[in-house]
Amino acid sequence: MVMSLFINNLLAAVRKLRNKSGSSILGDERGALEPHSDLVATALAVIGFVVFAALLSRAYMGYEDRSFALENYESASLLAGTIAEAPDLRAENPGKLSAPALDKLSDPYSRDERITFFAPFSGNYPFLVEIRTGDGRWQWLIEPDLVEPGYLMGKQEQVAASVPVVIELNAAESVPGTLTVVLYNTPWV
Amino acid sequence: MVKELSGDESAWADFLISKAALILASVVLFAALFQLAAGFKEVEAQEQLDFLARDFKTAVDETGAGSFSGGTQELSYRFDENEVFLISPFGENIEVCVSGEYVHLKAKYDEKSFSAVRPFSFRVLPFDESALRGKLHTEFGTDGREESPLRADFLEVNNFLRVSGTEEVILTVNEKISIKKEFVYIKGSEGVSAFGYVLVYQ
Repeated sequence: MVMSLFINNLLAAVRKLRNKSGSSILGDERGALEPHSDLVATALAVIGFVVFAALLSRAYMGYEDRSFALENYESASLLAGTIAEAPDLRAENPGKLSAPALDKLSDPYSRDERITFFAPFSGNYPFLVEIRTGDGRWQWLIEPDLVEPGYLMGKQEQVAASVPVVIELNAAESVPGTLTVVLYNTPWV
Repeated sequence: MVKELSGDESAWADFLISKAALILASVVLFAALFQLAAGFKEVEAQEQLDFLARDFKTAVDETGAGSFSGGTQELSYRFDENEVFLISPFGENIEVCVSGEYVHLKAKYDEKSFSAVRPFSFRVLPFDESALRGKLHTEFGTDGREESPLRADFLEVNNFLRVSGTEEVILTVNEKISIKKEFVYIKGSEGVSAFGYVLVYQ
C-alpha cells in the first residue's frame, strides 16, 4: 500500500517536470543538462596515468640503483669460490686454507706474493678478500696493490659474497671460518 | 555584443569548448600511453641485450674460475641457442665485439642503436692458442708451454699480453664461440709458475 503510493507520487512528479519543460531533452538549450561528468572522468584518467607513470619510473630508478648489487653478486660469489680453492692459500691438507699463507699475503711488505695472487683476475673489478675464523679470534685482509691502501675501505657501493672455509692454524688445530670477497663499484663496471 | 553573450543562456559555447578540450586531452593521453608503450619496448630490448652480454660474461668467467693450476678447460658458447637471443627483436643483427677487458654487444632495432658492455672478471685474450703461443715466441723466444716456460718477469709478460689483447675482435652470433683456459708458464727464481688466461675466439 505504501509502496504503490510512493510509485504513484514519483510518476506524478516526473509527468509534472516533463510538462513544465515543454519539449524533449534535445530542445532544452538552457545548459542545465550539460554533463560535467566526462570532464571529471578525463581528469581522473589523466591523474591515474600520471600516478602510474610516476610509480613505474620510481620502480625503474630503484632497480637501476640496486642493479650493481644485483648484477655483480654473481661475480663476487664466483670470485669467492675461486679464491677459496686458490693454490696460494691451500694448506697441506686438502680443502683447508693455510694460516701462514694468509699471514704472508696480508703482510703489507709481501707485494710480490699479492701480485701473483691477484694475477688471474682482470683488475676490472677491484675487490678485497677478508678471511676470518668463526670465533672472531683471527682475521686476515688481502688487498690488491693496484689501488692505494685504504681506497677499498671508502664509501663506494659494494657487494659481498662469502663462502665457508676451514682454516688450518697449525698442524694440530683447524677452525671453521668464512672467506668474503667484497667487490667495489667503479665507473667502468 | 558582450551583453548578447552574457545574456545567452543556451550554453553551446561552453559545450563546444569543453568537448574540444576533452578531445585534446584524450589525444594527449593516448599519445602519452603509446609513447610509454614504445618506451617499454626499448627498455625491454635493452634489457635483453644486457642479459646476453651478462650471460656471455658469465660463461667466460666460469671458464676462468675453473681449473686453477693446470690443464685446459674449454667450452663452446652459442648465442643462437640462447632463448633470450631467439625472442629478442634484434635477430641476427647483433655485433659481438670482444677485447681482453670486456664484451661489447651492439645492435640496431627500429632505427635505434643499442649497446651493452660487461667487463670480464678474469684475464681474457681475444685470440686462439696458436696466436698466443706465436706472440709469446716472437716476444720472449719460447712459447710459454709447460715444457718450454718463459724466462721473463711476470709483470712484463702480463703487460705484453694485456696490450696484445686490447684490440676488439668481432665475432658472429650464429657461429660457435670457443672459450678456453690456457696457462702460460713462467720460470722465476722460485721455480715454474702457471698463469691462467681465458682465450675467446671463433
